[in-house]
This record gives sequence, C-alpha cells and structure tokens, in this order.
Amino acid sequence: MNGTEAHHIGNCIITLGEDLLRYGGEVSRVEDTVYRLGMAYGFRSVDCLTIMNCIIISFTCSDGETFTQMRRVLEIRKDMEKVRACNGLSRELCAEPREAEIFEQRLEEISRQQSYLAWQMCLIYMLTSASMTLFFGGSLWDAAASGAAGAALYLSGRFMDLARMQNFVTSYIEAFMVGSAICLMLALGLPGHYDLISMGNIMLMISGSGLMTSVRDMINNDLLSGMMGLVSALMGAAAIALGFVSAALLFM
Amino acid sequence: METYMIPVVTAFFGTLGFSAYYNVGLRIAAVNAACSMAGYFAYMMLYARSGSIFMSNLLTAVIITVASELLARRFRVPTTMLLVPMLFPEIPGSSLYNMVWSLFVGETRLSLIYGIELVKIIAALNLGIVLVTALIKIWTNIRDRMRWGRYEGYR
Repeated sequence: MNGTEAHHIGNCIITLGEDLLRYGGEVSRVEDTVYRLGMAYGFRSVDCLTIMNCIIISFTCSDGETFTQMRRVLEIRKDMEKVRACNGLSRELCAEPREAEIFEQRLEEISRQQSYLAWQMCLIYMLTSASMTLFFGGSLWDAAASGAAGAALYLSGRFMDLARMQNFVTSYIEAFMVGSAICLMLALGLPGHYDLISMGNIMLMISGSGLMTSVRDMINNDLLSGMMGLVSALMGAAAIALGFVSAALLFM
Repeated sequence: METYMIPVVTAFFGTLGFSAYYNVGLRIAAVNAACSMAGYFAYMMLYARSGSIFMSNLLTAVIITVASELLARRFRVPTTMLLVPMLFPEIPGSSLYNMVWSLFVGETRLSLIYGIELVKIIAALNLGIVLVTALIKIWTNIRDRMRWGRYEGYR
C-alpha cells in the first residue's frame, strides 16, 4: 500500500468510526473497530482516542510514515440499524479488505439507509407515550392524552431540530411545550392526570442509553466519555423534568 | 396475577415503540419487547419477594444483560441495540418527575426520598450491566489468548 492509498484507506476508516459514533455506537466499539480495520489493512500500528464527540486516530504505514486525523462529531442521532450496518461492514472488511473506492461506496450506502417515515415516527411516539402512561397506572383517558402529547413531542422535536440550540435548552423547551399541551388538554375538560401523562412522555425523552452506558464506559477506563455521558444525561433529565414542572406550575 | 398484567403488557408496547424510536428494525424490536416484558415480570416478582428496589433492579439488569449478550451473538447485532431498549421500563422516569415536582412545591423531604430512589435505581442498573459485561470480557480475553496467544481487540 503506497502513501496515497494509505491516506485514502485511513480516511475511510475514520469516516466509519465517525459514523459509528454519530449513530450511537459506544466509545469502546468505535476504538475497537478502527483498530481492527487498521490492522486488517496492513498498517503497522493504529492508535485511537475516542471521547463522546471526538475521534483522534493515528496510523503508521509499513514504510514508517505516520498520519493523524481528528474528527469532531457535533450531532449524535441514535440510529441502531446504521450502527449495525457499520458493524457488519467492519466485520466484512476485516475478513476481506477491499479497495478504498468500494469502502467509500459502502459507507455512502449506509448513510443513505432509510429510517422510519415521519408519520410512522409520530405514531411510534404516540404508542410509546400512551403505553408508558398506562404502565404507570394511568386510565385510558390518560393514555389518550399521553398519545396526543406524544404527537406534540414529535412535532416540537422537529421544530427544535430547525432551531438547532444547545441540548439542555432544547430538552427544556420541548418538555415545556409538551407540558403546556397537556395543560391545554386538561383545561379543555379532558379527564386526566398531569403527572401520569407527563411521566409517559418523560420516559421517551430521557436519555436511557446515557444513564445506563456511561458508568459502563467509566468502568471500561473511558473515564472522560463516561463522565461526559453521565453529566449530559443528568443535565438532560433535569431539563426535561424542569420543563414539565414549570409548565404545570405556570398553567395549572 | 392481574396486578402484573397491565404493567407487563404495556412494557411490551412501550419497548416496541422505544426500539423503533432508536430505529431498530421490527424483528429485533419485537425481540426487545418480548424480553423487556419478561424482564419487567421478573422485576416485579423480585420486588415482591425482596422489597428492595436496589436488589430487584440489580438482578433484573443482570438477567437482561445476559439475555441481550446472548441474543446479540445469535442475531449478530451490537449489544446496545438490545440492551438499552430491553431496560426501557426500568428507567426511573417517575422518580425523576416526582423528585423535581416535590422540590418545586416545597416538599424537600419527599424530593430527597425520590432523589435517593433515583440514584439507587441508576446505580443498580449500571452495576448489573457492569457485572455481566466484565465477566464476558474476562471470558473473551481468556478465549482469545488460548486461541491466538494474544487478545485480538484494541484494549
């Protein structure tokens, strides 16, 4: 592998790592994938440091030339099917390394993979919120209101995507908007309980993966990522709860 | 048994929706929902027996992590794709809401109780996941060393 080829392959590998991180892969998975691919493509050594939103990779080619790249991942969008596809691609290429062009083409295909459609996603929000309200002991009226609040949550999420603000502010505003929608429904005479309807929606908004995997990251020696993940999840959870509570205190 | 019915069935649908929210395909989402339902049933039985939130969440996390590790190998998917949705009903959303609500209405003592409950649940779930993950990592490292004389992964 000559220098240009090595750069090209290294670029593809870091793009795969970036995609994994962006779609919600764990830090250890990203590092392991990059390392295994680098070794499979014949680099003499591979060093990789990944934190929650950044990857730094250094490759040393067989002729001793070293090159380093850093990628910042500003937006994380959980998409487990894409994580699965990236993982599958990495396994395939580790077993049989292919040319850089084919590697790039496969990465392109993964990024173009279809997620659920907007209306399907809205239904998913409604189903989850309504189910969780029933789960917490709500009545059928509560579940219906929660489903409607779930739709409001989906719409407010789409709206906040356009606004592109910090995570804490986004979570707070979304929660406040949904809380206000619930207050409106109750004010219009719907027989429901604000707390149970809110809890159903909180479950969908809270970063379950952040709360559950951050300590695991810390135990895996990824202290920085673990702490960042935990603080981010806790701040997000606080913003969500504050949003719902402040809407209730303001409008009820 | 009837008291278990509604939470268990709604845990199924809640997890199904949550899996789809993470863009998990329908087949795996259905597996997640079924395991989550079984996991929540186990949680309720354990809680009824022990009366301890910490122990019941810890054991539930252990059961679900083992199930997700086994199923991840069976379906050749990343463990996170199964583990996070399967533990969805155990996420302490109600404790979080109650803690903040109590704080705002001036019930500081009650807020503290909910806060401690929240920490206990998060700690128990994480500890359960870590225990199983650590055991699997030890096993994988030993297997790799016996097979190739070295560990194949990065760390």
